[in-house]
Amino acid sequence: MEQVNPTRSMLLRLKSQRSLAEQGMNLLKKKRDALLREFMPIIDETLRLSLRLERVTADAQYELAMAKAKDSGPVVRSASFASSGEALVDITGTHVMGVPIPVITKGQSPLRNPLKRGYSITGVSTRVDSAADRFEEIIDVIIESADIETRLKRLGEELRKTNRRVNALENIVIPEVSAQIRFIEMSLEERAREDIFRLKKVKKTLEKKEAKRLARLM
Amino acid sequence: MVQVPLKDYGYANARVRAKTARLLDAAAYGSMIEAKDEDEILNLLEQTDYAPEIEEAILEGKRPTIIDRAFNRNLARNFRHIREFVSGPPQDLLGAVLARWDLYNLKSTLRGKRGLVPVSEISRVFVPAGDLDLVTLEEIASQPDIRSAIDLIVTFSTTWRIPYGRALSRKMGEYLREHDLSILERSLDSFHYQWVHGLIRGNDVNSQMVRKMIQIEVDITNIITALRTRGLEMPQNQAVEFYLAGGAIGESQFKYLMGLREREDIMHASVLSAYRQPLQAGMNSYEEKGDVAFQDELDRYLIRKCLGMNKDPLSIGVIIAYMWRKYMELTNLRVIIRGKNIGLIGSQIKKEMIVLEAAGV
Repeated sequence: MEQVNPTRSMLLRLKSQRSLAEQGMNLLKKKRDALLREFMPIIDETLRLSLRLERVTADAQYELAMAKAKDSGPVVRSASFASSGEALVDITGTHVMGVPIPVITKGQSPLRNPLKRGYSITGVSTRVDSAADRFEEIIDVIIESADIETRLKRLGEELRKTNRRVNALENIVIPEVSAQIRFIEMSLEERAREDIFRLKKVKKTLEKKEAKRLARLM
Repeated sequence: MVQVPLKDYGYANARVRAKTARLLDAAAYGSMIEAKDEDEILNLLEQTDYAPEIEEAILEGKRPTIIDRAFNRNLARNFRHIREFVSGPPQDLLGAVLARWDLYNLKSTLRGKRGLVPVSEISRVFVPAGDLDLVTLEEIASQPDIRSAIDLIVTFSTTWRIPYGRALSRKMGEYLREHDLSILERSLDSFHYQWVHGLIRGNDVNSQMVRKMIQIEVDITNIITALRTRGLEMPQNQAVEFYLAGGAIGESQFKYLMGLREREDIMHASVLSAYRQPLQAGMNSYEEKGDVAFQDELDRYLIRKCLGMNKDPLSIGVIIAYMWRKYMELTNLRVIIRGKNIGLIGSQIKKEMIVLEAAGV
């Protein structure tokens, strides 16, 4: 425990500190609860998206392998020359309980219809198109996942930080200040008892002196 | 010196039958499906007609993409070899059949140039089984941009069996306005089939066979186009841009098909009565495979029809049947190798293979 001056003013200061810490702790607990309320559905959503990503990726790999098998790898590669493109995303921001969170949205859907892939559908098989569909779906899910995972990461970090603060206040700061307050109170009580004892002694001495003086007079 | 009669199919078909006998049988596929890894499959293939290409592939690396290229080289070598067995009108007919590879190679070149793909990369996807050899194709691919490549095709194609340059010149203005490569591709597809039809105008049995094959191929493309674009809002005048002439389905019938919104409506359209069986088979596996089921079944239908053309030993039917058997064999080999590569078990691989009773596999 940190050494403190066992003075009344210090006691008052520490009591005010403890009250502030308790207030802060309560506020942080409320923030933690609010963050948790935001966090839990995001975990569910993240799990759902990661499962979807896993399934879509497996489907895409299968479709691609079959397109490469039935139409041949070079034919699929040739189609891919024509269908290069870019996935546009919009990044804005929002705040959840004061936590800045980036919001990632699709600027333009990565899911294209078969007429927009650069090649003519009359020259490319359904298998190649189907594989392209699946891979575009992967991009779509990845963008959704990027948004939700960034949200999860930011909220998770904030939750951890808030939890650490609550724990620090609850288990270290407040108990330490309380101990200091107890120490000062005990010291002050001890000092008060000594004062009373000393005053009683003085009173007794004075009373004795007074009795002696009265006896001499009589 | 004995003069080999190259202007009829007797000699060529004897050579082709010998080639057919060298194709893989069910037992060979069985051993490959049972093989523990790709190396074992490659070892088995080294004892077949694929030996030269597989040895070359092994030197490059054993990845499935390299093996795919080896298979395509084998296909090109075999198909070009067959062209040497005939001359005159039979060779012209064969040229018309193999022109589909020229079309594919030219489209790949344009796609590569449009996508700024390096020449070496474009060159890897070529299958020089048609009239255009690798040197010509690489010369076109090595042009600095798509405009120069098209100019070169226009110049070169004046001497080709099918002057594809005309199709490109015709749509160049529209392409430059829209910057949409599919405009040029559609023009090439449509020009190709019109021209091929012009090449096989004869009424002899051989021309009829080739015409029948091309007709089924065109019909399948039109059916698949209608199935793939169903549900897309498309005006009728735009829908007709996807029409390929030369099949049994006429332009007005195609417009009607393109106007249908539901899969069932397309399937039950009376104009497609000839394709009811493969469409029904596709419908049966639609839940599992989606639209791919129709493509698979219609491809099987085309192969089955072409394999059935080998009845007359003195017709081009023997060559057509061989070509599709070879195509089917390559597809099956790729299915086995790719299937093993992604961890499919034997029964799953067999399900994806093209198995036709007529083919004996």
